[in-house]
Amino acid sequence: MLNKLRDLRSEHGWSQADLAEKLNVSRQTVNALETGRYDPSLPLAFAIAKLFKLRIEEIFTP
Amino acid sequence: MPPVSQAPRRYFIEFNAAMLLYAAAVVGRKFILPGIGDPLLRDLILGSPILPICLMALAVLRFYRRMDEYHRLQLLEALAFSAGVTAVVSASWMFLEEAGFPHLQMFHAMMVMMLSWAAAALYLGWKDKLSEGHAGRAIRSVCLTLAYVAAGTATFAVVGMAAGFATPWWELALIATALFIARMGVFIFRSKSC
Repeated sequence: MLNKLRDLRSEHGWSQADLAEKLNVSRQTVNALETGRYDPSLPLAFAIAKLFKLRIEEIFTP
Repeated sequence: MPPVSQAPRRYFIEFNAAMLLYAAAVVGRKFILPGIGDPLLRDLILGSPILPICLMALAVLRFYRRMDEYHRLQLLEALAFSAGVTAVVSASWMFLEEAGFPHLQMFHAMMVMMLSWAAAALYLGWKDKLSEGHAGRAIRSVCLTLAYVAAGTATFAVVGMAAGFATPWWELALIATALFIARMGVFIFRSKSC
């Protein structure tokens, strides 16, 4: 699954550690999401969408 | 829910406290047992290391519940790998025993499981470091840890020899383990996140 997480994070001027803290996940998890090595669960995808005030399908594409 | 970044620190404290209790139970019962006559009390003291073993398992379970979903997946992948390795090794060894190989105890199967679990966890962590472009830093950190443990253990052995004591291998292994745990503690408590 593709995602725009890295772009969105950069737009907000956050580091991976910043985003990890906001989502209550580890920095490695943010890195794995950004590099496409891991697809988030539905609750985490909703948390990401809520944080960036976007819909899930605006961030993640199959 | 506590912050995920606190999980390794809590696990480190809980697991090592259980390890200390285990070491105290294993060593302590040797001193206590000779003076115990009651068979029930004797059995209870003999089985006392079971409690800290259960506490260690509880510490791992608590760590699992505090992790985020990605690390949970990694832990379960490593555990599945170790279960497979243990099954293959134990089933194969059964036939090798018929060919004259030494008979092993259940304890050895646990050692195989723990070592293969650690190897799989290291491999998955290594893959993370590679994808982040930190492979060089990870190699340097591993080499420094090995050098620190080897130098500390060797110093202990040399000082023992100079003082006229031959340090048994298990004591050196214990020193090496303690040094490794101390190094991990420094690493965990210094890092901002897991």
